[in-house]
Amino acid sequence: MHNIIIEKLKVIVKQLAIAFFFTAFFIFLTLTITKTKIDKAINFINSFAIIQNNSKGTTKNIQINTVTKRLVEYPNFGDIWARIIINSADIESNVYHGDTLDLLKYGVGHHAGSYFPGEGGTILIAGHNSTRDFGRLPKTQIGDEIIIKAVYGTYKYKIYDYEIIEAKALNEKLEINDNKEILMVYTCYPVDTPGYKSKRYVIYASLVGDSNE
Amino acid sequence: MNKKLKIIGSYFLLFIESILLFIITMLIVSKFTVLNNNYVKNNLEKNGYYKDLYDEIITEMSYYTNQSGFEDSILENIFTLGELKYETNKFIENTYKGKSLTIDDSKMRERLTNNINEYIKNSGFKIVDQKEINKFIDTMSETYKDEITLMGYASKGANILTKITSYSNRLIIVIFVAIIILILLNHIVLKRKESGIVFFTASFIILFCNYYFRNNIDLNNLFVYSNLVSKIAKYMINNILSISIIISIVYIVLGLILCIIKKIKKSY
Repeated sequence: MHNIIIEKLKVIVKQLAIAFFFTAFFIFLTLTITKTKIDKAINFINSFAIIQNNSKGTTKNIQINTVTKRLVEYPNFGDIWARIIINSADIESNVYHGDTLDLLKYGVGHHAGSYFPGEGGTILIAGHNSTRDFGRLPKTQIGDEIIIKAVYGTYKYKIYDYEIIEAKALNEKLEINDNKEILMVYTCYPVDTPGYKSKRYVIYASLVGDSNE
Repeated sequence: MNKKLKIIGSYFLLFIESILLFIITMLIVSKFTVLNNNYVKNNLEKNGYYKDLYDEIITEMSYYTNQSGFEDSILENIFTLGELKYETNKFIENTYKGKSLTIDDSKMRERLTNNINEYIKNSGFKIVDQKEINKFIDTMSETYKDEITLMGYASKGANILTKITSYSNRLIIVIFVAIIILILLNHIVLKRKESGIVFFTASFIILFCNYYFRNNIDLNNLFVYSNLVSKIAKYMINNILSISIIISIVYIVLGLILCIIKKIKKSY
């Protein structure tokens, strides 16, 4: 009986050892022949792996370098980094970094590809036409003041123009440049009738003063 | 035949058998999981997909209500969870059959129109342009359909899915026949009975693939189309990996049984 058990164990060990050798040989063959393709496939799959950050917190420790005219550190996507105030139209709202529809549900959004106040370029801010956000934007007039209270300073702008454009023409019309600090604020138009809005009401304002806090 | 040659030939056949067993295992696992619409529907149900999808559609629609001068109240009861589940399941079944499907949104449109009319009546708005209202309803309808059909991406993959299913069915039959032939060759012609090796090897390869996949793919952060789809995809991948581990354990047990049986026969 004892011998039978030892014989059985010997067979099992022998077959396991051969199986182990077969596996190692198979892995060696596969990796040698298709390593590049496997790596490519893994990289492709991992390219879909993203660390999602849907932060809607407030960014606090942001400063602007007055020499380079660039923020030392940028807010996270979805963070509140300023308040926009247009007294003449009774508008005051939080400004989020990013202007996706998800963020616009909470307040107005700053287009992530545009500049920040103080950086000397185009600043693009969008908001829904509800009364909480930019519903009263068409009540503003040329010469009215827009204040942006950012976490790193307060910036004042004066409205010098406005226009109504087709939503389709938005990208073409609202060009982002770095040669002059212009604030562009827009909302869906018309604001006082229900239905799908295919137009945008845009106001243009230029920088008139700033105070770094 | 030379004894040494017999042994080498036998091991070579066992090695091929092992690889074929591994491949057929993977194909059968796929056939009963990702290539099976009932498996997908069961997993959607288990993970509360329909309720999450319902909430997501309402959230997506609410993005447009804000910009269109409406309130979210117009979205109340415009479609039911049952209707959404029915349309989603119908869509999945058709995708697996390689057929295209038009989502029925007629009831949803009717209820939304009623809610809008009620809202306009109560809020005192004047309709300046009926086209804007109609376009809003069209947009809501598109949102409803896009969310169910994953923006049409699923339909685009439908043809590939049916092809894969068809090929894998044929491949399973071919590999099965090949395995039987190899077993017969080994047992009858070469007179060697070490089939335990085949199960052990297939099991080790499955375990290695499992380990390699888990260590090289950032599964926790995998993002496929949307958070909702990613959640289901991650669940299904983990489930398939768990199934493959169970299969590899079963193969090891089968290998051990074959080893023991063989020795018993020899002992008597």
